Amino acid sequence: MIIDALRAELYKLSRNRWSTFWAFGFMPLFALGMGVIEQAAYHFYMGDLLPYAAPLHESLGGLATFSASIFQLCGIAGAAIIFGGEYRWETWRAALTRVDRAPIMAAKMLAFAIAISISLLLCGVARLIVGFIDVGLTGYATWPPVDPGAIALAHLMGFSATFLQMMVTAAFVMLVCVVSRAMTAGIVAALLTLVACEIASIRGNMGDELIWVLFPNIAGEALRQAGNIMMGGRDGLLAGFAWQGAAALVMWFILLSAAALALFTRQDLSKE
Amino acid sequence: MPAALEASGLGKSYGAVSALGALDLAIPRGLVYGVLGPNGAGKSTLLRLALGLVKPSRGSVRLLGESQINARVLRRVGAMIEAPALYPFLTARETMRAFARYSGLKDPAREEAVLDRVGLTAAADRRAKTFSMGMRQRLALGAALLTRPELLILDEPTNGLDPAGIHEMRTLIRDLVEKENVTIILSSHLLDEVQKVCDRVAFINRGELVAEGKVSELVSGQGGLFIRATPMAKALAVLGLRARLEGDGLVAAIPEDAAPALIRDLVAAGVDVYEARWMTQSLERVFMSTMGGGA
Repeated sequence: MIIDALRAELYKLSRNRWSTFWAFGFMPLFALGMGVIEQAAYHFYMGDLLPYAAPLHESLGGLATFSASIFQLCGIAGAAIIFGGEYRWETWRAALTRVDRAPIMAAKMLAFAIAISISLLLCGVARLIVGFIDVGLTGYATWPPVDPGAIALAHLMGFSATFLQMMVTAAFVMLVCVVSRAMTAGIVAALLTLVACEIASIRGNMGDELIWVLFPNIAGEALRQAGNIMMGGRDGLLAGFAWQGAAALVMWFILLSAAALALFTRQDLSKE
Repeated sequence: MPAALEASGLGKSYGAVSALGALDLAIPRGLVYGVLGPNGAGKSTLLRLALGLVKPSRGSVRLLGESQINARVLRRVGAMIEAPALYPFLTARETMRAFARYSGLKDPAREEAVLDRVGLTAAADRRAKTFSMGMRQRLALGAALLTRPELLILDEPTNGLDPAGIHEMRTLIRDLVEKENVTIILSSHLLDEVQKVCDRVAFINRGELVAEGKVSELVSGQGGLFIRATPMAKALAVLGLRARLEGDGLVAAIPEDAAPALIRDLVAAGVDVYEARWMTQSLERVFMSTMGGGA
């Protein structure tokens, strides 16, 4: 039944082209466009002062595209469409006579995971392209001083960090949509909460106390920094908390999803 | 064979407001069953409870004999509750595809056949948000028919339909019952339509079952002979207390088989009879008298 629901959710996403583009397609294009502009500006204004094109560091950076709260807006909108759309269009009564509540919510989460993964990977590819454009402009490329396995693992960690952060955000959007029965509430509440978390956790970037990894943005950053170090980077105050950060993100995801699901399975849909 | 829908002491309250009291009702299979009542009577609440969209505050409901209302039993049921629930960004064809996927169907031919059956083939590639209310209603009905349901639950199915659409809907409903043995539970405010299409009805008022029975039994025995004749005073004298004035004639409250004798009596009394026809009691009149004019 979860497969049926997943097929339906992915089909709906594929047909809701405009919304899906802004939710999942815009950020890779933005990463590519901004990257090209950025590199062109460096090249034409600074010439050869910065002759160190590093495509693989670019792609690793691309996997962090959704890490800052403001850049999560697109993903938040995507989650709100997936989890809040049925309330907005009053379609729960048509869908829930075909699939049970828990499988449909699980399918929605899976659909989001698939869509955000593709978006995230495309962001990485976009920045990789930017890196190679930079190679073309500068005529010079640097490569990480580590073996390919470490590069792959670093990218995997970079991907996992942002992916888990986005899944936590999606679970939060899901909870807000279920409680409020409104798509817009999911977007506004999630964005404000993420910005508030970022402001409140500035000190956490110092990496002096483990407790700060309870903030999803710090937890994600810890994983990203660990990946960066793996690829020869040197900065990483939070890198020592990488696994705790991953555990924190998984914990938040489970808690928020479970709360949303528990509420949804008991919710009266007398009027969506 | 278990009932299509069986409610035992079924009730729903929202805070202090009781939407449905403690309803006991068994809807048999193989017929069209009307659930009637004024606005706020609890009809939609009953249907939503049956579909598991809301949880009962008391009592229980069984659907096709199953007490656990889950997708396993709901996939044997088609439903259209209140306004059509459609995705505005999908075309009619895509809507069918999406709901077919939710239902676990992999039969594009069935989707096309259903679109054809509800008369939307020509509009299949138009988005649902551009549809008129009647077209939306047809599309939602099509989605409900996708799984070849044993039971069809329709809440106000003729809403927004023009007279031709209402006629088509009536024909479709009767066809489904008579040719495909589908059980249909419908609620409607159009009592004339209900009388034409339903085999049995239940009257619900303020969350309570007020009356229930076969339509033919509810409206029988309460008919009358409409007579247009002159002079009226003489006709009234013949009929006595059995007559009441209605429009430009009078209605004699007599059994149908007494009509020929009465007409002979009127003629014998020197009354000129211009029109005499048997008036069946309308469901609307039964409804109004049952609800105490509260509808």
